[in-house]
Amino acid sequence: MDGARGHFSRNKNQYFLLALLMLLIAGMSLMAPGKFLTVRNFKNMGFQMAEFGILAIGMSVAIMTGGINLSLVNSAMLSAIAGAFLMRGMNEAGGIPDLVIIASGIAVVMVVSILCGMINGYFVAYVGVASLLVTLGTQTVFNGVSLNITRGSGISGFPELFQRIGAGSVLNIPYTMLIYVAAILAAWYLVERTPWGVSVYMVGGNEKATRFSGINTKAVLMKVYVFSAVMAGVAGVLMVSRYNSARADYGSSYTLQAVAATVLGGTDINGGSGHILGTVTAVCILQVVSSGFNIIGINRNITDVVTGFILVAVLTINYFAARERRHKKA
Amino acid sequence: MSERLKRMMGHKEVSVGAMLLGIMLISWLFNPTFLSFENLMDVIKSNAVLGTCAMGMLLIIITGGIDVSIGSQLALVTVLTGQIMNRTGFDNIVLIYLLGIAIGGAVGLLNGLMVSRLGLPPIIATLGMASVIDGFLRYYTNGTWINQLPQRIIDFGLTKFFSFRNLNGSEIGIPVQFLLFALAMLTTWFLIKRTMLGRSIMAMGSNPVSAQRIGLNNRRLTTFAYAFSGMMAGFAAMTYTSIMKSVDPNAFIGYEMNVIGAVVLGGALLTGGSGSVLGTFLGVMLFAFISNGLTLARISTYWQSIIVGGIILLAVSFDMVKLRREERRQTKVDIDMTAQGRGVA
Repeated sequence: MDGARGHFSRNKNQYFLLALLMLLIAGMSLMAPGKFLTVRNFKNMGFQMAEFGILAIGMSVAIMTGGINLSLVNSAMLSAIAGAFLMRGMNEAGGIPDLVIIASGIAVVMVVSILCGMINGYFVAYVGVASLLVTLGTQTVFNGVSLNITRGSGISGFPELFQRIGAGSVLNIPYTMLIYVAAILAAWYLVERTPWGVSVYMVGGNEKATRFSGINTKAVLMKVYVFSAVMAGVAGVLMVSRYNSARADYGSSYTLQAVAATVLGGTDINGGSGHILGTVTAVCILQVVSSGFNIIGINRNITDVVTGFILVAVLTINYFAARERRHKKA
Repeated sequence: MSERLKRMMGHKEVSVGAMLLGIMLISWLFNPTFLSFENLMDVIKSNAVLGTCAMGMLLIIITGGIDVSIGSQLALVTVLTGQIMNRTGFDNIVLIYLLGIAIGGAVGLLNGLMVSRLGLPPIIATLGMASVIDGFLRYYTNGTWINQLPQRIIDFGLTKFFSFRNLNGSEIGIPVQFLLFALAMLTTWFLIKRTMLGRSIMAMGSNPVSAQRIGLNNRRLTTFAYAFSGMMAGFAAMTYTSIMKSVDPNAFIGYEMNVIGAVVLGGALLTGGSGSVLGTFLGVMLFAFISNGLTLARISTYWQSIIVGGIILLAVSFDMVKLRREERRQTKVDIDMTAQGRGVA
């Protein structure tokens, strides 16, 4: 199936998405003259987009292998809560420089993220359980641990400097946006320019064949889930910094939205295809729709309805386009 | 092959049943009231909604699909029927149930058509559906509850059969929700085991290509499975209203994951073609008794989710390890056969 679609059609899909994005931006600019196409609005979109965009990258890599990571947001919050817990403690102790507190907080976030990713990776790669089931289980477990740490309420009281990560900007570009761009570049390089990235696609296309061609698929999958969790950890830091508190239930709607963004971006849910930049474009589309509707004054909830329609419509168009091409070839 | 598969299936239900008995025993040791008739009926009553939805989800999982819009379907049906009852005072129980089933069935049918006709991957089609319904409901209800429901549906929800008064004077009996759940199970069991339609869906789930070649209409079968699941969700939604006596549009956020978890605990494979009503029932009860037992043992709800998640992980890993052992045995048999073949030649 994948061979029939081929390289060209995948790129075609990317251009289609890019055109859709441009069309949406143009449409929104016309409908809200002088309000949408402003520095302020784009800055706002930058603040809002980063954490979700980074989560979507983490989801994309899992889906490229034919898996899924439903525990994404819960591992983000678990690691962020662990970091927040430490930062609050150090801050209350007093006398420790802010920079040291933040650095150790972020270090803890990364360590816990990697642990979460290794748990998922162990069950998916080494035990061989379907990733949907593994991450369904770990989703509940991670959430339970988070609730145990926070007792259901929020953790706050971080150094003031920490807030700047989520709220500050340089030359009208939010720091969160810079972190997002760095994450995109890192993910793009790792997935599309390294041997590991190539094997990610191969595992997604045909795991057995990949294993028999001498690639350690278990190690590849393990790294995929660790990478996914690290992305989640970064997003978790951004979320905690933006809200200036950490709670177990932040961002709970992001999980399935990240799946939607990934698939909208042209990644096959069965694995083996997709581009990081496609996901990025899809995240932009979703953000433009939600910000645009907000400015025009359409109810926020209608945005969800439209998002659902866009998702179904784009995939339907893809399906019929692919069928058309198959017919032409045959 | 089918003999071995059957034996494995039987085995799976036995292992889920054994786990269930173990948990019941431990819960009973912690708190003897666990095994009282009252508590058992309460547990079944409060899990009738989960169980009914699981029956519909079972059929979808047998086709190799998945439906992540179940929670949204439940919310949609409870809100729409709740609004109708609240505004017009309409209180014919049978008709309102039928209406609920029809609404759920319509949503399910749409899901099914998206999967079978438009070729959308099930998780994506239903994800889109969930997004549309959730957005609509939040816009329409603003999250407000519906409290004023007709007295008749409230009375209906409190109905008990074979009831008697115990020593404390409180009424004990089989709650109507138990019977409704039993009806859902029987219908699903009959469908899967005793009808051509159900057998065809089972066949399609284990091998879609062969099913098509022997002349089954895969598209129609798939569409039916989703529509059936929607009808079950509609049915379950009405049961929910009868238990809660009010409608909370946010009650079902993330509910689909519980339903999927219960079906999978019950031994259905996500790859399709396997799963049974009995197994699913045991899976639902496992879910139910774990949380009930933990509550009775006074373990904090925060620990409960860790334990429930842990059990899901354990159960699916156990399945996988067993499946692999089975596979390894099969490979060995194959090698033996070839060796024998050579010997003969």
